[in-house]
Amino acid sequence: MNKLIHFACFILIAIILVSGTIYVKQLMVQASETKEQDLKQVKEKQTQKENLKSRITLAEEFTVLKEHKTEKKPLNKKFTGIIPTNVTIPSIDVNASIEQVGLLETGQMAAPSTEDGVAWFEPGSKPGTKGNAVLAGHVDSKSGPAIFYHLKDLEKGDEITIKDKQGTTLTFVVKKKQSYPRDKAPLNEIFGYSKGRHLNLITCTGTFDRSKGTHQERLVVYTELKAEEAMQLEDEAKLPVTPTNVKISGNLLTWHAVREGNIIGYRIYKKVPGRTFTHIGSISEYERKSYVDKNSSNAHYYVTAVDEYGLESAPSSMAK
Amino acid sequence: MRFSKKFIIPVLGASLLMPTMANVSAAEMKPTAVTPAADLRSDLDYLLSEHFTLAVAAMTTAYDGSENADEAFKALDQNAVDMEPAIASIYGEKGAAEFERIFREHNNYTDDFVKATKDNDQAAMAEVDKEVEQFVNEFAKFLSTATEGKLPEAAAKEALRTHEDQVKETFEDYVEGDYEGAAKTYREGFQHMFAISKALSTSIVTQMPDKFENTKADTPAADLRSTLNSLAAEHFALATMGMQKGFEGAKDYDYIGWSENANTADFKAAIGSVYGEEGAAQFEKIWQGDHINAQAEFVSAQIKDDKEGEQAAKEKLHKFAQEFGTFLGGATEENLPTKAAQDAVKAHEDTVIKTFEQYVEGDYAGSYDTYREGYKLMFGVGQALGDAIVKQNPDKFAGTAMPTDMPKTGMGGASEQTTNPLTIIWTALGSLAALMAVVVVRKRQLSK
Repeated sequence: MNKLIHFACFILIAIILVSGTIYVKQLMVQASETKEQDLKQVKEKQTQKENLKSRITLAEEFTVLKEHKTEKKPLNKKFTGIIPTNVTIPSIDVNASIEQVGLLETGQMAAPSTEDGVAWFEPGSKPGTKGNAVLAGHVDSKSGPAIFYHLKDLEKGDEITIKDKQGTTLTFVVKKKQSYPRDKAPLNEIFGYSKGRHLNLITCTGTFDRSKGTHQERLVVYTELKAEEAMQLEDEAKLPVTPTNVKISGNLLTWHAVREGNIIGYRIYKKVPGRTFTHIGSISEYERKSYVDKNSSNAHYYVTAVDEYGLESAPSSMAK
Repeated sequence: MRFSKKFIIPVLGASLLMPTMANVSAAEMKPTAVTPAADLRSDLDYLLSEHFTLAVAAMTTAYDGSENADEAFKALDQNAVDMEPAIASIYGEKGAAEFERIFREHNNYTDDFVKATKDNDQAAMAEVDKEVEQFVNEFAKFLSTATEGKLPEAAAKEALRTHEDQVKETFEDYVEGDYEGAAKTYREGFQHMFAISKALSTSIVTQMPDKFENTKADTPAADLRSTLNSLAAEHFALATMGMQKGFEGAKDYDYIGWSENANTADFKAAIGSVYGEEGAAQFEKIWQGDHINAQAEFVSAQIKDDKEGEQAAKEKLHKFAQEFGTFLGGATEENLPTKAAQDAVKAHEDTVIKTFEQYVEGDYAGSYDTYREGYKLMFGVGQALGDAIVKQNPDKFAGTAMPTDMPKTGMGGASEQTTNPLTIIWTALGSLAALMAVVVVRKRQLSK
């Protein structure tokens, strides 16, 4: 019996020993695994920290001088509408510059300041985006007809062209026109959100109410972005062109500027032996296309171009 | 190399045609970059190359309708006026007056050509072309007559025509928006002015050997000085032009940067030819980081109205003056004293900054005055640095002992008028080899 108890004890101890060892071993493996993972995470964090762009916004990274953006905006998925500066309506011989207006204290949309000018309701949608962008013009003045005098003559299918400062052009097609009593216009339909890309033109119509100092009715011409242009807006945006002639001489990295598309700047990437490429600096479009790296020995570099949408080109050829 | 003590270190800033230091006679074997003949060449380097930079500036600013266009023309005219004392000192008042009549007048063609281009007036452009052609002929004749044929009329014509073509092409490329072409032609056209000044100065010196104390304008030492003149002056012209273009966001800003990079590469090669690869690499690092790039950073800070950035860039430029001065002092083994070099570099940076700041303030007259001052300063760099290098490495520049005249080896005259440049080069190489032999023999004798 005694022998049996001893044997049982021995077996128990053996089991405890064996399983204990296995358990401890497993613990150790786990520990070292987590350690490795931690190390990996730290490394990743480090790389991210070194990667400048992960820490700052596009606006912080690049300074964009307005007058430098001189190219038309391409029509693609990234398109965010235009700030209109000119409108032409060939069928009624209108060619006018556009000013931006907002709301009056009364809650009314402000009127254009001149009889030859057209006003764009700036708090509303930008032309080209989904929604209703609104332009207004006077029908007449005390001395005679004003810019939108012939707006009522527009017919379905007539075209309206608007441009921005860079020359980006959008064409809208007349869908319908309708007059409303001054205080009964369907504001939501004219100004509100819509799935289509609309541009609505407003002017006064009807008889002039001297007691109120305004015409009794408002004419609204509803237009929609031309189908071809609307289709283009569904296209994917193209990546910017890659910078060329990237060269390191001494500790000055230089490259040639990209001259197509609205480039806002360049990113510089560096790799030292045993590490991956990290983003070490950015140069805005208006600056000299060069970058000083005090520690350039054994380093490899490439440069990318970034456009106004934040899209980044493929890496340039490497400089070392 | 213990020659330095025996010589007075020339002060930076060559003054126009002032005889510099007690001169080395032709028999003296120790070479120097500062001789009456080398001074003449350097003065012509200065005035002719400045003429080129101002002519291009006047035309492009006038074409753009820039506010500083009038001042560019005034500076161009003043440059022509400044040439007169130089001419008068050699050919007298009458010669200077004739020079003024022909040369000063031709600056007006640049204005006429811009107007014709703007109006796209083909007839007016052809008229200007004709006037330029007349100028080339008249001025070539003047130079040839003045030098008593030492500068042959045909050679003068060719050199002048090339110059006129280069100015015109730089301008036309600019108008067409081919800024890369404009930048390349600008560099070529700029460098061509130094070829003209070499040809002209050697002709004058050959014509009047006594006036130039039998020194030569085309010794290896004078060549080095002229090369350094060209590199330093081009740097100044590009730096000031680039900064203004950067500030304006001009479309050709990047291309000025390319030209600057090319100028750096040439400068590096020149330093490398004297101090080897390591010296060249060291030069390149100092030259670019706190200098070329700092000038650009200064502009970017101005655009953003970033006062801190401006200050930081200025400090970098001052640091550069210290570092580059130290580099030059060390490289030349104090033949160019560190302190003098640092002061000179700082004076240079100050004129670069001032030219730009005055431009930004709209003080265009002041800006061009400072430009002219800063441009001239660069020829003092050529003089001081060039001479220091020559003194440090006399063996490399043992060319002062040129005979004052070629031996009369021609018996008949059948081979007269050989204008083949190769012949001249071979002759020069031959005499150089002979001189080297002389030097070597002499050195051996000395060491015995």
